[in-house]
Parts: sequence; structure tokens; C-alpha cells
Amino acid sequence: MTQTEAELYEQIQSGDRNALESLYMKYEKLLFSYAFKMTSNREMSEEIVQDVFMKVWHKKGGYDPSKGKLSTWLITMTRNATIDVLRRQKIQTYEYDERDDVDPAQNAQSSSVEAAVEAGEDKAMIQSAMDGLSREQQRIINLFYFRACSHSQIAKSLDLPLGTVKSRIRLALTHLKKNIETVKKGGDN
Amino acid sequence: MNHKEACDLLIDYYNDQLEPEEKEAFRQHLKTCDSCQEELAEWEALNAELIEAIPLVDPPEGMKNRVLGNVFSEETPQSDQKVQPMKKKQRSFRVPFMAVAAALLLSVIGNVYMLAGREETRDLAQVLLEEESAISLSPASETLDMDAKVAMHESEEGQTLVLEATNFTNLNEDEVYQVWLLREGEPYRAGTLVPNEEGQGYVVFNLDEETEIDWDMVAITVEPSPHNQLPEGDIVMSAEF
Repeated sequence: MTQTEAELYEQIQSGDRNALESLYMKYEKLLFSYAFKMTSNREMSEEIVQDVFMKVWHKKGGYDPSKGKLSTWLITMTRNATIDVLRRQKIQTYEYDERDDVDPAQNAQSSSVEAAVEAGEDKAMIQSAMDGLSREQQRIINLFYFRACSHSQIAKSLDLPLGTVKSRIRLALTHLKKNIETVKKGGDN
Repeated sequence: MNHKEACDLLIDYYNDQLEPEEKEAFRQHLKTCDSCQEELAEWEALNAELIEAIPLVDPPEGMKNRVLGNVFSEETPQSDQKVQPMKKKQRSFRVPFMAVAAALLLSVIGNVYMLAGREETRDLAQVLLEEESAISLSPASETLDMDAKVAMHESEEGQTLVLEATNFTNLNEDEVYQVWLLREGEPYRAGTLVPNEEGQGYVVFNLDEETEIDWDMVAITVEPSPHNQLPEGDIVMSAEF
């Protein structure tokens, strides 16, 4: 593969539909899976992915290769679009409940059996990576990443001083990342 | 607000929890605060890594067509193809205009995506088109040496039209090829065909209505606008089911 993602993005900026389609094919599943992880809703996830590609296609010029990878940018856009959609759906108003520690599917309306099965698999893998973390770290990652809670909501939920939330998040993320890598390696066998 | 307090808004900025004016103020802060910039970039990068490790979920069937169809239909396509004028006037639809809107059983708008020969979708479409039930369309005029094949696929989610076209090169600027399904003389828009430079194109169009409809006919017209809900232009190819 000779084409860099920056080149692909440039082609998209110049209005090349095939370039957008290539980008779409490369990231459809990942971005959909991410949106689904946060919403547990297939319809909403499709809407989110569409929103992202609308922005890529129409807004143009939002990505700066010097500031990071295209994939990171797309994932951040997906995250923002998801938060937006969740807010509109008002699923966002969230009171911490330890029963939904690592399972966003419980809180959102899951629309099909298929979705429930997939959410189950998702849960199993993340659960396994989460197992190596302390309970507080599990909670903090779920609240920070997958529920996109506010600083004060996280502090309140975990009974932490506001000033320590940030460093706890970093620590938990680093641990989770390591564990997911381990789980992935195990899953390949 | 002092610097430290401003930095403490990073979580709320990242999770989009700030009011618009707070957000703007934080953006200003972010421009000059190296540590916040670093922290944010690190979160985003780490998030991306984590997300790449999540188990993948198969997107719904037809999502690509819907999404890209909607993305591309938001604008007037910029045609950079070399176009030639149609050589001959062909017959037109005579449409019972009234009642069509009321009789619309299908919500078809926005479900179309034009495929210019991309591998992935071609594979999917090819399977359908190679089935015996695929129908070849006949040109409306002998001077047209274009080919098209159509197959209807039925699933729980409704009917899907798959159409493959070759040699579709005769378009004037701003004109598009439209596919229509007809039942008892009434046309239903079934997608826009955008051929590639070689004149090849695919249409995969989902009729997201559970009711099965026995279509009488499929036709391709040249239309002055991709947004026509009723055919106005000439038929270039058609076939009866």
C-alpha cells in the first residue's frame, strides 16, 4: 500500500468519492462498533457513523496530519457525535448504579436479539480486561470513557475529591490498555 | 478563573459537558496551555488505541449504501466526466401523476447509493446478479449499446434492487440515470445510477417496506435532476419482470 492516509484525506478534500468510500470501508466497522459500545443501539450507531462521514465529506479541512493519526481523529469525531446523539436521546442523564458497571447495554434500549448477543460478546472481552483492574478503576473507565460523564459526576459517583479525578483516570486507562492487549493476545490462540 | 482551575475543565471539555461559553473560554485556554494540549492528545490517542481493541460488531446490512448515499446526496454531484449528448429522442413515461404520492407505499428517499465499481459491494451484488432470476434490460433504441442487469432480493428487511450497468456513457451535464420500479403503471424511484469513467455502475437500493410488491417493470431513464421523485426524462432501458 503506497497511499498514506494523509494522501487519502487530501483526495477526499478535493471531492473524490472513491477516496471517501475507501476511507469508509476501512473504518466502518470500527466506528460502528465504537458507537455501538457507547449506545448499545444499532440505529443510533449508524446515525453516528453517518454524522462522522458527513463531516469528513462536507466540512473538509478539519484534519491536521501534523497533530496525529487520521484514525485518532475519526475516533474522536465518532466519540463527539456519540455524546451528541446520547444527549439528544436524553440517555445521558445518568445516575451511577453499580449494576451497570461495565455494561452500557443495560441502560440503553437494545433493539434486537442480535444486538444483545453482540453486546454480550463485547461485554465478555472487555469484562475480561477489566478483571485485572481495581473496582474503582473499572468504574472510572466506564464513567469517563463509555458514559462520557462530567468531572463532578465522576467524583461524586466514586466519592473522590475533584482534584484527584484526572490522575485516577490516567492511571486506570493505562492499566486497561495493558490488560486489553493481554486479552487480545489470548483471544488469538 | 486561574490557570489551574481552567486546566481542571479538561475532563468536561473532553466529554462535552461545558456550556457553550465555557467551552469557548476553554478553547482559548487550550491554545496556550501545553499541559492541557498534551493531556488531551494523550487521552485521544489512548482512546483510539483502546477502541481499536474493542470487539468488532458487524454493521447492519446495507449501512454503507445508506450512509454514503446520504452523504453524497447532500450536494449536487460535481460531474467531471466527459459527456456526450443523447443521440436520439426516446419515448417518455406517461405517468398518472396524481395519486402517486398518496399511493407511495415505500419510503425510498435517501436509501440509495451509487456504486462506481468498488470491490466489496460488487461481490455482494454479483452474487445476486448471477442468480438465474436476474433480468437483462433491453435498450429503448437500437442505437444504444448499453447493457444492464437487475435482480431483486427479498429478505425480512424488505426488497433490495441490485442493478449492474455497463456502457452507460451518454449523459449531458447535470443529467443523471435514474432507476424506477413500476407497478400498474406507477413509478417508484429506485436509485440513481452514477457510472464510472468506463460507463460502469451499480445501484443497490433498499425498499425498506416489509410488504412484498410484485413489480411489473424496471426502467432506467435520463433525468434532469437526481432528486426527481417522478420520471420526467426518456427511458433508455427497460424490462418486464
